[in-house]
Amino acid sequence: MRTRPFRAPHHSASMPALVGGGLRIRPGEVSLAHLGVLFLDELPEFQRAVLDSLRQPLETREVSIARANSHVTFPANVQLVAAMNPCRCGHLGDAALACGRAPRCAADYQAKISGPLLDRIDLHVEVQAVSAADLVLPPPSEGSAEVALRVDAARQLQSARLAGTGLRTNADLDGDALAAFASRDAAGQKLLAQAAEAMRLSARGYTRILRVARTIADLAGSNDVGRIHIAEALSYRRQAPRN
Amino acid sequence: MWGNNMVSIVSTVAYLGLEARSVEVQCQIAPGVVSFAVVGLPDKAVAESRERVRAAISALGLALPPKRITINLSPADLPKEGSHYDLPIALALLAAMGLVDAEALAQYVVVGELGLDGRVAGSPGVLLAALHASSRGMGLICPAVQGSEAAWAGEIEVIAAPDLLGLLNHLKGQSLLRTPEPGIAEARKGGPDMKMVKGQETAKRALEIAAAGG
Repeated sequence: MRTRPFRAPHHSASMPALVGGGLRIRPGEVSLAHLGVLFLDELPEFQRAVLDSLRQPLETREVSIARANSHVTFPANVQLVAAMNPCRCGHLGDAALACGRAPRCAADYQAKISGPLLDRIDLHVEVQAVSAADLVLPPPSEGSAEVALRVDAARQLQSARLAGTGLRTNADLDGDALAAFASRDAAGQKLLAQAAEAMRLSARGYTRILRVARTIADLAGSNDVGRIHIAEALSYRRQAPRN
Repeated sequence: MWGNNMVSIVSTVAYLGLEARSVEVQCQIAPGVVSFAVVGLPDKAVAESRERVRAAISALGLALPPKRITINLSPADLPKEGSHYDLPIALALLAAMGLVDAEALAQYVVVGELGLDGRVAGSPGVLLAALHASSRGMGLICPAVQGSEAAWAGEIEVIAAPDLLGLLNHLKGQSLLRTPEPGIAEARKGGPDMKMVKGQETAKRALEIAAAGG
């Protein structure tokens, strides 16, 4: 294995295909994507049980498969990337194109993904369709190479900070380590407290916001996690559906 | 030289998830009805290895002795699967035939799949076998194509065998095989570039954060 894996299983994938299993236990996609990216396109089209089977590996970064005749643990430290349409016709938010069943259809469609799974996804981004006007624009000056430089710098900051702790990146921060390494300034702490109240953040959501904010601060080269970093992290948090 | 009823033993491994367990390949050549049997809960791929081993040995210009040949994979209650038992079975058989020094083999864990022409083909799990061999203070005999993978295990003697004949010559000290070097990570090949995405700045920013923190 020379490069980090990228796995994109089709949404018809079964539970043994995704988390591992079978008569003779084989690693699933989540283990084959270990230390890489697991990309699930058309997320709501996956079977519900299959998606929810990802909860444990996403939390513990390994998957324990228990069968009557064997018990096997595979590593499963993946970065989950998922994409989905907002509703069945795909035009929610564009009144001219949306079908007559919006927004009810969107609520049903999005409800196919369980809250606990969504809660484990740190960055939620609503992506608008690319307009024809965008296509005639010149290509962006910034490509993967430039972004990779910034990412690399941020990761080096993390390794320097976490040296000797056995942790690798901000994603590994938990409990005490998170409190120690993600030091907030007063304004940031206040914003976080307010947001936790207003957005009704779960405990998991709270720690995840902090990790993301720590990373955003690293990308900005900032030692402390400031208000602006927490604000950006909060903007990626999924809002509970509004009625 | 082994007597008729002596048993030759070669070490190999069984893979259970990410764990490698020691498996002993025992071979006995005894007088009796001519047969070649593999016992010890082999699955289909292991049972078929009889045919590959027979062909690979005849590719050396040798014939199996017209005797009763029994291969046992011990522990016999552990299900064996995979094609990496070919080479240990062949070596155990050759040792029982007196063509390989069984004592030299005792210091190695052996994995590898055999082709009909005696080539040693790769099979998954070599690094695991190498780590296992290293923890037991043994060397590893593995397919040549996976030598650089096995060498990652560190302080361990790795014999990367291109084919059965080359391996036998190496074990006899006639023509030595090169010690494999650990493979090095290759630079990322050009894939899709973020330059190809127009607009979608928030999504790109989210990707950047994900890449930086995860």
